[in-house]
Amino acid sequence: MSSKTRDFVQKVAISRGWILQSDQAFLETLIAGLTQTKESYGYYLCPCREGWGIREKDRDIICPCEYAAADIEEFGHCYCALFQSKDYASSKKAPQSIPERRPDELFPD
Amino acid sequence: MFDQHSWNTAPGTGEPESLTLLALSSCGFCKSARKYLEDRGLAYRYLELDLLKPEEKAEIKEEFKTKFGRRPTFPSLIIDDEQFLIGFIKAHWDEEVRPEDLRA
Repeated sequence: MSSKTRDFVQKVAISRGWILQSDQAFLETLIAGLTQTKESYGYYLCPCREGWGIREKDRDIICPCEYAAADIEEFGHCYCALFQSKDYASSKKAPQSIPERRPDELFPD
Repeated sequence: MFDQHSWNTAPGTGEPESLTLLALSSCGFCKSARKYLEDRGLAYRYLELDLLKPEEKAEIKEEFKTKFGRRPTFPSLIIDDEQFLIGFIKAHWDEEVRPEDLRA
């Protein structure tokens, strides 16, 4: 299953012009996390966000989430740091949490 | 805070109740946060909210919201039941997680 997840994130990165997380250990935790959410919910829920477990309500945070492009543009990587910009990847900076762009009211109570 | 819940604890210096980590089992930054605390040899308690029953998860989130006025995101670290850090930003944690200031 994790090999399917790896294939999935590689395809997303290529199609969107993003770079996968270059810290290999961190990347592996994210691939494992995505694999886990796929097994739990049936879709690739962002591993760093709490979801409803209902596809319609989680639609905007199914990987790649709707906020990824804006986060990569502003912060250099997406919310969970799976995808990076080329510049951020070149900088070799360690990933760190960024502000949540998803509106509060979309989260479970 | 959160006294009615059954926590996982990690051994180390200090009382686990001084550092409370709210995490998701699938989250990379949550794992970074745990490693940060463990590399510093700090005792802490933690829960992975995605693995809890819905009612227990709701209780913890509600208690967090009541105390701190906002919803937790992950990871969230509560220091001595008084202060909280949202997300894992190493520079912030270096400033705020000071073993010498934690309650014994």
